Amino acid sequence: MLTLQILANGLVLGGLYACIASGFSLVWGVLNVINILHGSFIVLGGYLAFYAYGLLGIHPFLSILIAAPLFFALGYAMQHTLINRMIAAPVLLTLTLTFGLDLMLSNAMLATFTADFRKLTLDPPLGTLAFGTIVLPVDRLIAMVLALGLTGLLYLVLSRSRIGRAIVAVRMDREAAALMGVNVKRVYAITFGLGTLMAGASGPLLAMIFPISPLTGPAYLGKAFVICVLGGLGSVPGAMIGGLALGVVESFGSLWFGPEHATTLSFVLLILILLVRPEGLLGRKGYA
Amino acid sequence: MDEPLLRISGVHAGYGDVPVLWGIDLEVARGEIACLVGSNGAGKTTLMRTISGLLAATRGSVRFDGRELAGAPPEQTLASGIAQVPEGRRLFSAMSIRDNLLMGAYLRTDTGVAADLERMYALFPILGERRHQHAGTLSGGEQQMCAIARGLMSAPRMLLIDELSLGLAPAIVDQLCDTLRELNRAGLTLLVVEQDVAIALELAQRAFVMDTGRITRAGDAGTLANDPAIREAYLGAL
Repeated sequence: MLTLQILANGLVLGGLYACIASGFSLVWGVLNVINILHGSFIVLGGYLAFYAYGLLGIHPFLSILIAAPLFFALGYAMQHTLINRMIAAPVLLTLTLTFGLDLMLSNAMLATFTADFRKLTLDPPLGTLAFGTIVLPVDRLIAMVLALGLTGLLYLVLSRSRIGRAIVAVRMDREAAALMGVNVKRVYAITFGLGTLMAGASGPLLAMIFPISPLTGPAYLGKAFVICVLGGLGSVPGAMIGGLALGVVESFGSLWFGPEHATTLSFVLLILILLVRPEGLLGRKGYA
Repeated sequence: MDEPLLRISGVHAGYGDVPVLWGIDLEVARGEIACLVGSNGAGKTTLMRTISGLLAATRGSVRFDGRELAGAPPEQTLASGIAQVPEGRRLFSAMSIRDNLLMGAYLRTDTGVAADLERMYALFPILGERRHQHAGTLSGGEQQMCAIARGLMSAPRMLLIDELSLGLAPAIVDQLCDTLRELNRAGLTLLVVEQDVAIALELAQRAFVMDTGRITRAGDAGTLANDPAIREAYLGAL
């Protein structure tokens, strides 16, 4: 029974991880940019939800609707004005650029919000739901459903829409896509915008479970990294599988080895996967 | 005579500091099949990339239907009516055949795209049968069909094909040439880059021979096919 409960906890966590990783993986796969800012975008999304709820009374689940367009615009503008200038440079240079931007963003958040850990607590709480012997908090359950929904939506956009096809085409063959009339730099900006949107929108969801602080950004970034390697780079299904797998592994890891070793376990997993199956569980095929 | 549909004059281009094209002049008339032949490294693909706008000409002019295209980005070249089937076909291999064809129609906003998809499936039935399969699962000849169909999906007035026959079985090449003639009769202008000079001169009405970044011979394809120098250099004549 305990096993089932831990599995359920892991899947709830994993759904959120999938959402974190899908945007990071998309940007890495299409632009070949390792976006160090991703973790800080998530934290910023968390603060947006925290203050929208505290000051304006907007429910955190609804604040996703505010976060999505804002973060898309932020990402689009950042790619359009800054990162596109260096997009042809080796991956280490764009990594350095996003690292520098992340230092600025995370320090700006430290100055503005301080390093205090804040907790978003719903009032009144949504209570719990029992499925047989498994008990799950309703807020976490909704957060997971929304996270998986957002990730699924991203998949639909990429596989069914005109702009999604263009993004996938650019990932597969940039020059051939240009020959089809795709404006590659614009697709880069849209892709970075979508990646930022996914980070910003997962912020409010994670704020339902984890405390919010600028110091948590790197932890989220690390998770996104592990999930990308686990699931396979640049694909939404890969991020989904990798995210759920990591959530389950971390939950059982906390049970067996103690919660302090959950992160250690995830990086041990990362090293094992790199040794055994470096292309990820799903490999790098098909739609992003 | 009318102004040619495509007129390239004095085009220079290259990669970084390395010049590849040295003043190319080339004209293709409306409704014509022209071919560009020459050995490996002659600069044929570089010229194709310059026409499509993937590579910017450092000097010279590329005029299509009276409009200057030199320096224009690829989407503008395509929008003005020149589509390209790139060397090596460059299909989006993990995308379905249907999605590859839809990528060809990426710039189109008219309502004829669905009808054109059906036209392509009629032109190349194998593509229709396998429309939901990944393009990477097709054989070489089928991939070339898919690449040509993808180029046609932009509803171009002129189609450039870079290396039509490379790596394909002779029977498939014959079939592709028949299809191209059919498309040409329906009004499409073609410029075909081809390493196999015999195939090229048989398909085309006009031919250009390229060597080390220059056009060394140009003229009627039939005349060139009977030219002793061409026969000796490229056709292995007796």
